[in-house]
Amino acid sequence: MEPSRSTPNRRVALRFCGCLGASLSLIAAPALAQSPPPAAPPAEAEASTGEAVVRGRGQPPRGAGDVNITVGQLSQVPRSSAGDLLRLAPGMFLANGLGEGHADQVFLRGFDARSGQDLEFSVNGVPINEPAHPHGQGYADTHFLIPELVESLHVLEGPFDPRQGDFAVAGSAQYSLRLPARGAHIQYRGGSYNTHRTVALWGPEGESAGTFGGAELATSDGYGQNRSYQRATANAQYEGRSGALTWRVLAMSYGIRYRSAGVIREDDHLAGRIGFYDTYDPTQGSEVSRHLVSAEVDSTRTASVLRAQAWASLRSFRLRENFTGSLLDVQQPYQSLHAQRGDLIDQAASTVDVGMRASARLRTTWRARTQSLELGAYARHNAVDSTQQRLRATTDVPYLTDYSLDNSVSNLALYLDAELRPLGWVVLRGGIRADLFQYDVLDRCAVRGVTVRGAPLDAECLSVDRSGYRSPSQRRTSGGIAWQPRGALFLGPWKGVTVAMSAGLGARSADPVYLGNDQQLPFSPITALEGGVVFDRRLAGLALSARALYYRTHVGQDLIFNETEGRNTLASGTTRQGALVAARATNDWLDLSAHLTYARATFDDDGNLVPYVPEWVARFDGAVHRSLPWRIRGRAITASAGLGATWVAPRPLPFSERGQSIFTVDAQVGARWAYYELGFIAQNLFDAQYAWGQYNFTSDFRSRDYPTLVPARHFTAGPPRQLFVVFTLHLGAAAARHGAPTETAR
Amino acid sequence: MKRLALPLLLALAPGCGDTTGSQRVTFAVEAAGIERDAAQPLSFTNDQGWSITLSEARVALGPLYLNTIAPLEGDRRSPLQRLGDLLLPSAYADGEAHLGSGRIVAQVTTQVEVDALAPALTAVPGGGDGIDVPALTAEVWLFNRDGALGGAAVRVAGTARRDELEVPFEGSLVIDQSLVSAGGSIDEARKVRGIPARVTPSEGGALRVRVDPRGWFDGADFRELTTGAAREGRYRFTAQDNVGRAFLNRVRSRSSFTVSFSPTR
Repeated sequence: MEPSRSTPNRRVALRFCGCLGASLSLIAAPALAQSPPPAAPPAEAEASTGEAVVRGRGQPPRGAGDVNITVGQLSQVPRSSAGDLLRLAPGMFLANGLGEGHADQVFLRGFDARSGQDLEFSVNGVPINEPAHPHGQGYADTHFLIPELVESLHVLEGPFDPRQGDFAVAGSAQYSLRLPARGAHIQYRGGSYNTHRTVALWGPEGESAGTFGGAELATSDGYGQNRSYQRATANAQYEGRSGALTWRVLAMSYGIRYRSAGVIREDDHLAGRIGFYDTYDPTQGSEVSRHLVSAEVDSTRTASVLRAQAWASLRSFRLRENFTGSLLDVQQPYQSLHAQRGDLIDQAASTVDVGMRASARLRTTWRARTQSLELGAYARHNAVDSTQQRLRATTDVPYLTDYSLDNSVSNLALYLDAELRPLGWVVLRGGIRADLFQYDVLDRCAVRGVTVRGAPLDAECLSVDRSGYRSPSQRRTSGGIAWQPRGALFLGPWKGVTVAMSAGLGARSADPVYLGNDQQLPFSPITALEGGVVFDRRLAGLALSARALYYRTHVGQDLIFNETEGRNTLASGTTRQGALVAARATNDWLDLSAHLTYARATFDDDGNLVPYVPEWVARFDGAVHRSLPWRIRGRAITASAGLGATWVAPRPLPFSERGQSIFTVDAQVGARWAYYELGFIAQNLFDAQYAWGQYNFTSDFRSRDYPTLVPARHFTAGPPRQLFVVFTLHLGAAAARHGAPTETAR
Repeated sequence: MKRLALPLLLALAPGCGDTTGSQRVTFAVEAAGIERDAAQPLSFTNDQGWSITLSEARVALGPLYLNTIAPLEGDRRSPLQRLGDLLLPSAYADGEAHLGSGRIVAQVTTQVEVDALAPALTAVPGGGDGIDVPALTAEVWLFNRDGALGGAAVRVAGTARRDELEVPFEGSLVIDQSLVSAGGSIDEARKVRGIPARVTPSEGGALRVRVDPRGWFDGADFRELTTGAAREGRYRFTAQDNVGRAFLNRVRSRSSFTVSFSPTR
C-alpha cells in the first residue's frame, strides 16, 4: 500500500465514489468518467431557492417548502425503499408496519396521508396515486421503484403550483429516475431474517443517464412473525436526443407477495399473551403487481419548451388485513344464525390507468428579464374494478360483501402558469388550474345489509327492496370542476436570502365509495398558505441551504383512519398549521441534512386534534466519504459512512392520549476498491423497540376469556435491528478506471 | 416583527383544544348482593304468595359492559327525572328487539363469584376500563363457573313457605343449548341486557354492581316441586317445572342487577 494524495480535484472526482450497499453513489461513482448527463434545459437552471443542483424536470420553485433533493452523497444513509428517500424532505415521516409491499404511511405537515391520499406522487411524470382504490383513495405504492435508480426527488409542500394535480393536498413528490453511472452494476445484499436482495443495473456506455435498465429480486422471512416477502422489479428507460428534441420511453414491471403481521393489542403484549413482533392472524398479506409504460417527448428551445407524455398502466391488488379481530360480525336479523366469523377484510382491485399530459412554456424578454407563460393539459382515466369482502377466520372463505364497484374515474385538467419578473428582486409565479372530475360508478351490490320481508336469509346484493323487485345494481354518476388559483411571490435574493410567500387552492378527488349520485362537487377543496425565508449560498467551501417557514392548510372534508374499514373514511373539515426549519450543507466529502417540523391539526367542528398526526418530527442525515491514504495495486481505496436518525414526538391518539415517541438510528460503512465494493448496514442500530403505527380503537382478538369491546391501544411493530452485508461488482469502462491514478488525478 | 411573532406563537402553541375528544379511563369494580342487614336471613314474598328465604345465592358475574343504548321501560328513575321525561319524552321501542349492538363504552372482562346474600362490596380483580362517554344501560353476560358454582352461572338454595307447606329447594342456571330458543344463539341466551345504568365512567371511579335475587322466583309456585322426590332433603327445580322456568327467566332479567358509578373509590 502507498499513501494516496488528496487534491481538491480528486475529491471532486471521488465525490460519488464512496458509497456502499444499496446506495446510489456506488452507481454514481463511475459517472464522472463518463460523458456528463444531458444539460438541463434553461428553465431548469433558473432555480433561485432550494438546495437544487438539478431541478428535476423543469420545476421552478413555488415556495419556501419547495425542495429539490439531489440524493447524492446521502444515498450512503441506509434506506430500504424509494419511499424512504422522502425522509429527506422537511417534515416528512414515513411508517410502514403493515408489510413490506404495503404503501408507506406518509405524515407531512400535519397530514396523516395514510397510503398517499394527501400527497401527489409521480415517477418521471407518471402519476402514481390510485383513485378509487379499495385500500384508500389515492393509494400510492412506490415499491415498484428500484431505489438505486432515483437520482432526485422534488418535493413541493402545499398546493402552490398549477401543475400539481389530484391529491396534492399536503404537497407533491416527483421522483426522477436516471442512472448517471454507466456500465453494469451487480449487487447482492444479505443479512438479518434470511434477507436476500440482488440488483442488476445497466447504463449503456455512450448513452445519456436517462437510458438505463434495472432488475431486482428480493426475498426475506421478515422480522418477527408473518412478515415474509418475495419481490421482483424491472425498471428501464431509453432516452434519445436529436437536436432540441428529447424523447423517453419508460417501462416498469413489478410484483410482490408479502405477509403482514397487522396490529397487536398493547394490553396483550404487556400481559405476555403475545410478543411484540407476533401476529394474531397469519392469513394477513397481499399480492400486488404493476406494469407501466410511458412515452415522453420534449422540445427545448430558447423561446419555448414543449412537452408531451402519455402512459398506460395495469395494476392488480389484493390485500387481506384484520384490525379488529372478531368484533364486527354481529348477528343480524337477515342472517342465519352464526357465531363470530372474524373481521378479516379482503380488498381487491384490478385497474387500467391511461393518461397524458402536455405543456408549452413560452419565454420572452421584457425589461431585460425573462418572462414566461405555460399552458398545459392533463388527462387521466382509471377503470377500477374493486371489491371488499369479509373472510371467515382461518378458512379465507368470504361470508360478506361490503361493496363491489365498477368505477370509471376521469380527471381532465387545464392550467395556465406564468412566471413574471417585474423587478430584478421580485419574481411572481403562479396561475390557475381547473380540474374536471368525472365519476361513473356501477354499484353491483346496491342493496345489502337490510331486512326485506320475504328475502332469503344471508342473501347478498338483493334484487328486492321494500318496494318490491329491483335490480341488484345501481349506477351513480357525478362530476364537477375545481377551480384552483395558485401563486407564489419571491423577494430577493439578498446575500442568499429569499423571502417566499405562497398561496393556493387544491383539490382531492372524492372516494367513489362515498359518492352520491349527481353529487355536485365530487372533491374536497383545500386552501393553503405559506410564508418563509430561504437561504442558499456557498460559504467556507460549503454549499449551504436553509429554510424556515410557517404554513396553514384547510381541508373542506378530510379522510381519517377507520379501523373497521381498514382505511381512511370521511370526516369533517380540518385545519393544519405549523412551522419548519431545515438545512443542508454539502461539500465534496461531506453532506449533512437536518429538519425539524411542528404541525398542529384540528377538526373544524370541535377544535379537537386530528389523531395520529405527529406534532414534532425531526430528521438528520449525514454522510462522509474520503479516499483512504493507501493504495492496492496502484488503485485508491475509497471509504464512506452514512448515518440517519429520526425522532417523532408522541402522536395524539383517539381518546386524548399520546403515543410513544420514536427514535431510530440507521448507519452504514463501507469501502470500494477498483471493481469491488463491500459494505455493512445496520438499520435501527440501537435495536429500539418501537411502535410504527399506534392506534386506539376497539378490537376483540379473543386473547382474553371474554370479549373486549372498548377502545384499547394497538400498535404495529417497527423493525428491530437488522444487519446486512452488501457486495457490489462494478463492470464496464468506468469501473475499470475507478481509483486508478489517471482517474484520481483528474 | 413583534406584531407578527405574537399571533404566530399563539397559533402554534398547544391550546385548550389539546385533546382528540373524550378519554380512556380505568376504574375499580365492586360487586355484592343487595344492601341489607347481613345478620338476618334474606326473606321475601313472591307474587304467588310464597315466602322465600334464601340460604344460598351465588352468581358468576362478568363480563359486564356499559352501553350507550337506551334502557327499556321500567328504568328506575327519580320522580324528578320522570317528570322531565313527561315534559320531554324519550322514544323507546317496544320489547327487547330495539337493543341493537349499541356502543359499548366500558367493560369488566373478568368473572367473579358474587354471593348475592352478602351486602358488603368486594373488589373485582382487574377492575374495568372504557371511555368517559355516558352510558345508559349495562349488560351482564353470564358464563358458567366451576368451584362453588359447580359449573353453573347461578346457584340458589332456600326454603319456600306458603300456608303450612314448606318446600326446601335448590337449583341452578347453567348456560347451555337448552336455553337457546328457536332462531336464537347461546350468546343471546347468556346476555342480560338493558339494565338501567345512567353512568359516566371516569378515571379513578368505582363501578358498583349489586345482585338482587328477590325477583328470581316471581311467578313460581313451589307446590309443583313436591310432586317429585326430594334429594338430601331438598327439591331440585329444573327447566321442566314452573319454578325452574320462572327462575331461568327471572334470573336473566335486568331487575336482577343494579349498577351505579361513583367518581371516587
